[in-house]
Amino acid sequence: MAPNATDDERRPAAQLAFSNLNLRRNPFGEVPDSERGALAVLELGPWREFLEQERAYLEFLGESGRGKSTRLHALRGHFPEAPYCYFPEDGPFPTIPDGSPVLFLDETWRLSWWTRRRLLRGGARLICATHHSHAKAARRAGRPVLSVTVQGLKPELLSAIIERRVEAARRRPGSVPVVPESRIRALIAQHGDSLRTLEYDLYDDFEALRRGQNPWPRQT
Amino acid sequence: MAKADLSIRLEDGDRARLPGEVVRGTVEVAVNSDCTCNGLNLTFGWRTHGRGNKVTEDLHAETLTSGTWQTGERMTFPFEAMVPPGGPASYHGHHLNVDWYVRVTADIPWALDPSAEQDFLVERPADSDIMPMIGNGPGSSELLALYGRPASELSSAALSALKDPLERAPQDLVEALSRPGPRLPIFIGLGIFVVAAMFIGGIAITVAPFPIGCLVSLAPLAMLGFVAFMVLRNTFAKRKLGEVDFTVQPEQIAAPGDSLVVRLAFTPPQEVKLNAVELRLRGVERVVSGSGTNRTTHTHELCRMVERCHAAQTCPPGELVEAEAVLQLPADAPSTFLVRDNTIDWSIEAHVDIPLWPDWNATKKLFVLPTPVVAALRAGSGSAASAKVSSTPGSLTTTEPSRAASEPVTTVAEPSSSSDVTLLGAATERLASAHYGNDREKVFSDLRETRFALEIRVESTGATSGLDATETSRGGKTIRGHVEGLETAIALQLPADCNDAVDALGNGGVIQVSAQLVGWHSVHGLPILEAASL
Repeated sequence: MAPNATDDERRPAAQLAFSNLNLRRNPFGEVPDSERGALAVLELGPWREFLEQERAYLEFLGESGRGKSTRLHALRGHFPEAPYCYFPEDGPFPTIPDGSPVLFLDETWRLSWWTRRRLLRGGARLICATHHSHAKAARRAGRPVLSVTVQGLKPELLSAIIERRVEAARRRPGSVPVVPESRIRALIAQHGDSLRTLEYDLYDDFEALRRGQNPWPRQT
Repeated sequence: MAKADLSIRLEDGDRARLPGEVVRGTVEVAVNSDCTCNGLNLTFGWRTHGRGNKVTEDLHAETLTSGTWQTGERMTFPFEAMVPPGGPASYHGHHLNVDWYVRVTADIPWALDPSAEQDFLVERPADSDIMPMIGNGPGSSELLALYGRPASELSSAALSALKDPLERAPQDLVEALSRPGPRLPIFIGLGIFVVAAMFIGGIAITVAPFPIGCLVSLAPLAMLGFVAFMVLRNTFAKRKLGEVDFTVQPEQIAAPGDSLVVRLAFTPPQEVKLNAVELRLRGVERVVSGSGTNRTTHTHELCRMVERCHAAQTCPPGELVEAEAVLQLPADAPSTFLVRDNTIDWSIEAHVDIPLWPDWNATKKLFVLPTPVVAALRAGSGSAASAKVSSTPGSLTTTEPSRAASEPVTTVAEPSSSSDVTLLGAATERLASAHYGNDREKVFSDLRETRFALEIRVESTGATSGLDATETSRGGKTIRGHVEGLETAIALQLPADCNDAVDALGNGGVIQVSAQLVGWHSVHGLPILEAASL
C-alpha cells in the first residue's frame, strides 16, 4: 500500500530553508518568549512614562493568546536587568527575587492571595499579565494603577504585525511574500483577536508558499 | 542605528557541508560609532525551527575579540568549527526543520547588542555508515556513545543502547499506569483515592441537594473507572484473545524502503468475534509549542499505512489466529529524530477490534536510520538483512490444532511444468508491483484461461476466509505451500468437497494440481490459485 504523504511534503533538504521565498524560516513558527517583544507592534511610550512613577502597577488583562505576554516582553527590552517570572498552571512557581526595583510577573492570577498581597504592598514597580484584574487591590495598597485590557484586533494592526514577522525572517534584500488584505480580513473574521490561533493559519499559508502553492488564490 | 554592523561570510558560500567537515568563514565588523565591546561572541551549532519550541545545541563558542571600537573601524575575524560526524543532518519537514547556524553577537553595554547569523546545510553522504545523532534528552547517555561512530565498528550492544532518549518519568497518573512495570504502588495509591472519594461522596450525598450530591459522589468513581479501563483494557482483551504475540521483523531498526513483516498471533480460549485486525505503520512529525496551559502538540503524518487484516469473523476456541502484513517504509523516510518538543517518530501499531469489549492495542517503536547504518548494525548483530514474508499461515486463516498424519500424501512425483512456473512467477511479479486495482485485474484477465500445472509442497492448511473465497471455494480449505522455482509461497483454494482430502494431508506432503490464478493476497504478498480438485 502506498504511503499517504505526498512527495511535496517529503522534500530532501537540498536548499536553505525557505530560500525560495527569500526567508530564513517560516515567519509564523514558534518564537521564544525572549524574542516576542522585539517582534511586537506596540506603542510603548505611554506605558514607559507611567512606569516612571514610584510603585507603579501596570497590568495587561485578557484571555490567552491575545498578546499579554508579548507586551510584557516588549517592555522588558527597556528594563533589561529586571527579573521576569512566569507562573505555570502545573507548577512549580519560581522564587520571586527580593530587592529588584522592577518586576515582570506573568500569570499573576495564579498566585496565592497572600503572595499577591505581599507583592502589592512591596516597593517594586510591577508589570503583570493576568486573566483577572488586581487593580483594586493595587489601589488599596497605595499604588498608581494602569490596567490595559488586551482585546480586539484591527486589520491595520494585524497587517503591521505580519509585516514585522516577515521582515524578521527575511534572508536578504529583495521581495518577500506579502499577505493580501483579503486574507487578513478573513483571518480576523475567523479568529477574532486570538493572535495565537491566527498564527497557526499563517504558518500553514507560508508552508504552502514554500511548496510552491498559492494559499491566497484570489491574489495575483 | 546600532553601534556596529556585523556580517558573516562562509567559505564556499551556500554549499552543503558534510558531517565531520570543518566550516570556515569570517566575521566582519563595521563600527558606526565609538563603543566598548565586552565580547564579540560566536556560537556554532544546530537548531530546530518551525511549529515547535525551538531547541538549540551550540557545539562551539568562542569570543573573537573585545575592546574599544572606533567609529569607521572595519575588522574581520576568521573562525572555524567542525560539524560533528554524527550531524544531525539538515531536515526540512512540515512542522519541524533542523538547520545549522553560525551566530555572532557583540556585547555592548547600555546599547542594543548587534548580531548576525548565517545558516548552512549539512547533508549526509548516501553511503555513509556513520551513526547519526538521533536525539538527546534525559535517557540518551548510552546513545551519546554511539553518535559519530562507524556502524560497522559497533557491536550488537549498540542495538541494546537504542532507546528513546526522551524517555522520562511519567507526567501524570494515566501515563504512569499505561507503562509496563510494577504497579503495586500505583494501585495502593488508587485504593487510597477510592476510599477518600467514597468518604467525600458520602458526605456530599448527605449535605448537598439532589442531584448535586449524587454527581459529586459518583464523579471520582467515574474517573477511577476510566483510569482502570485505560490501564487494564489489554488485560480485559486478553481474556477473549489469550496471550497475543506481536512481532515485527526486522525489529527495532529499519532503513528507508525496508519491508517490515508484522505478525500478530493468538489462540483464543473461547469463541471470539472480531470486527477487525489492523496493523499499521506510522511516521509522524510531532512538535510542541508554548508552555503551561498554552502547551500545544502539533502532529503531521509523514506516513500512514494500514493493513486491515480482515473483516468481521468468528474465531473458534483453541485455533491459532494469525494476522500478518508486509508494510513498506517509504524510500525517502526521514530518520528518527527525538529531541525535546521536536520529534520524528516511527512506530508499528497493532489493533484488534473486539465488538462490545475492550480492544487490544500495542505499539512498537521503530528506529529508522540511514540504509548503510542499518546494514552495518545488522551485520554486526548477525540479524537478518531484510524481512521475508513468513511462510506460516497469515491473516484470516485459522489453523486447526496440528494432528499426526500417518503418512504425508504424495502423488505422482512429477515436477511442475517449468513453463507454467515461469509464467506464474512473472504474473506474481506483476501483481506484487501493481499499485492500482486495474493493474491486477489486467493480470487476472490475461490469465483467465490459463491452467497452471504445479507441484506444491504443503506447509499448512486452514479454512478459507470469507473474504478470499470464490463461489467455488466457499466453505473449503486453503493450502499454503511452495512451488520449486517460485520465490514466494502460494495459496491454493479448494472446494468444500475436498476438505477431507486436505485434512489428510500432512505438512511436507507434495500434491500436484491444475490451478487457475484467481487473486492476490496483499497481506502476504502471494498469489491465490484455485483448483477444482486434488
